[in-house]
Amino acid sequence: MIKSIFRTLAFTSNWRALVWRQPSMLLSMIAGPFLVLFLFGIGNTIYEPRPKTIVVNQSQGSQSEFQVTPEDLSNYLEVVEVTSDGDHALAELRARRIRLIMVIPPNPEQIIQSGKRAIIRVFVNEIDPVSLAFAQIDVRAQMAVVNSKIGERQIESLKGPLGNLGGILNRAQPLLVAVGMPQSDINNARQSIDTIESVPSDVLASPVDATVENITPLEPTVITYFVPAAIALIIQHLAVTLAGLSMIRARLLGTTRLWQTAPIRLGEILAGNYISYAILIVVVSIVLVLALIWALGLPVLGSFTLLWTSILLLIFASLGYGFFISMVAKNEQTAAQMAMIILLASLFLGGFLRSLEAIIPPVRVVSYLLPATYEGQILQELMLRGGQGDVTHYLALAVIGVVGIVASFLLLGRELKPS
Amino acid sequence: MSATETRSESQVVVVDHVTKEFNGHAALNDVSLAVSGGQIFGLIGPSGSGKTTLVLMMIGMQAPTQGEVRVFGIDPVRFNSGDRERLGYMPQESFLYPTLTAWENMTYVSGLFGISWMKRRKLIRKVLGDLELWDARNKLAGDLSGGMLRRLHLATVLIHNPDLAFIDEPMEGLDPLLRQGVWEILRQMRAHGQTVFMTTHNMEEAERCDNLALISNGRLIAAGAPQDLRKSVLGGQVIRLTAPRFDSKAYAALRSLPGVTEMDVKGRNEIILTVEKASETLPQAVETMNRMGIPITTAEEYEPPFDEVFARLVLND
Repeated sequence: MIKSIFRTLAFTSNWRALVWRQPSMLLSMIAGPFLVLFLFGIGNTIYEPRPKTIVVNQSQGSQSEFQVTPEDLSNYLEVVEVTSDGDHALAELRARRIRLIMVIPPNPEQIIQSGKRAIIRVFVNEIDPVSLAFAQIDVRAQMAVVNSKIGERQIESLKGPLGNLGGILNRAQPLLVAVGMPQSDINNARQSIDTIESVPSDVLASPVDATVENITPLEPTVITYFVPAAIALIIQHLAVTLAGLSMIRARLLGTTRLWQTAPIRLGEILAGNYISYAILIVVVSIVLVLALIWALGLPVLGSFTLLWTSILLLIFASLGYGFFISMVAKNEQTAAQMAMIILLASLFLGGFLRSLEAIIPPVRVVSYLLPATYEGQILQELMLRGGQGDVTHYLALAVIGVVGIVASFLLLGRELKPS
Repeated sequence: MSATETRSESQVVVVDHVTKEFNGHAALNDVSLAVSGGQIFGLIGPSGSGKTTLVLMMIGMQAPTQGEVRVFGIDPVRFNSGDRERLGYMPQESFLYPTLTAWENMTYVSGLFGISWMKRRKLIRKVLGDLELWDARNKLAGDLSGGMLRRLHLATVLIHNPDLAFIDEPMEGLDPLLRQGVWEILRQMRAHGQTVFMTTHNMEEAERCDNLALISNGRLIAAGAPQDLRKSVLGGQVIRLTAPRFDSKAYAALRSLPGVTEMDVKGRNEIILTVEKASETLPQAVETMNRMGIPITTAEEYEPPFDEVFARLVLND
């Protein structure tokens, strides 16, 4: 038993010496991801700037209340120019100096008076679906404002005549009753006229508004939302890459021959490697997480114990992937490529950029195979909501880890088996 | 029973009609040999003759296609940890970490053999000292010279004091002085009852072994003590005589001496005689020549270089 411990720990002394000899390697493992996350945290905002817009106004000169003015369009859009030259606006859009063109139709009042909606045509030049979505949201919000303002002007223009109508209604009341108009209808009409007269036009034009109150303990920011998931991604990638290269390195150095002839058992080799890499990555993770908490003011509203437990499980699961890669990859290039594929899969399918619900179920299967998918959610829950995280996510990490270690054990056994 | 006797088990290695094929090609063909404990056993043969394959089977890294290998009476493929603790193996290629120092590599290897941290320091110090590597203990393995690296590999074999050490080309890259030192260590191992099984293609080194097995093209050509092999090749012991001039009467007289099996006239002033026993025939030959008035200038027992012996064995096969 005691010999088994010495044999297993032989790997840790080896790694300790290697890391001690290359402090720059350790530094780059911590400082690299930290700097990337730090810059990401301080350099990003969640809101896109107001899109620069040229308004092509084909109804210049008209003074109708149905007229859409550039001022009506400036809440969500940045109107940089108003022109009647559509070709010029299109050239600017093609050159991507502006992001939107809004074409106001000529004589919108005639269209509206004919019982139709006046259509403002909007042109964009986007290849980024996220930016396109943002542009659509901005345009819709702006249209709501435009409609409200038109309505407001309409109501304002009605107030004078309605006031007169109210006076006439008062004086003509006996006559109206005499000709058979019910008193209740007369009262309702008076009430409506009074309401229009007394309530401000902007309230009448947009009588209902909404306010959003976030019940999470924190006001979400780019840093708080993305950095926990990014931590999961970085730790996973570190573990997968380091473990992925481990056995290949041992193979290249001929160390596997030593393992085959020394009294060390298969389980001891695997345990020794797991422990060595886990210690290294745990150290890196602790320093990285604490540095981010300190430098970016990253909150941890939940339990620190659960935070480190989940990180340990993530490392365990990711090492399983790494060792599996190192068993099946023939050389360092292939292993690095495979580690990169796992990183990309985690980035695009792990709920990092888009929520898991936005991924169609068959593809989501891949998401559920990736440790970062679970850890990203656990960390967000623990750090930002003060919760404990879904217990099934912890279990999933443990299961991935166990599957990885069993697969690595079988593959290593096959590799070291006498030929 | 002493520790030395325990170690020197009779026949620590038995190879019985072993054939090893790779993709239908026989790397070893019906090889049989036995190695008793407490000796330095040399497996000699040219590069690619199958030496390393045979060693790999003895340490359990390869299984024979046919036949049977037994080390300490056990099939090496079925070695457990305890059996492996009794073995040491030094391959031709490096297996050490170039970015670790000599000391750290030794610590790593001794850890793999389950040596405790407390014992480790003392053992490493002794082995590195014996192999004149103590001053280089803090040097990276990657910065060591070829000879030093070879000695460091040998040190990793010696660290756990194995009963049986398989060493592939131990003298490769060593200068004559260091070879001497390594031979001294191997002899000490033998004196402690340990068995050294080494491969070499250097005939000079092979001659220093207690017993040899000669292998060529995957086949065992001969096995035995170096002297016995030489004798078997030459048909007996060899005497070399020189004189200012031998004549036909001298040739006839020498040829008719008792125990002479063959005579090789190298020229008018040199004769090589193959005899059954050199110690008996040599004085008789000198006396006969003196009686005939031929002054002998050189009379010695002649030992042809071992590579000549090896070459003859291969040719005779």
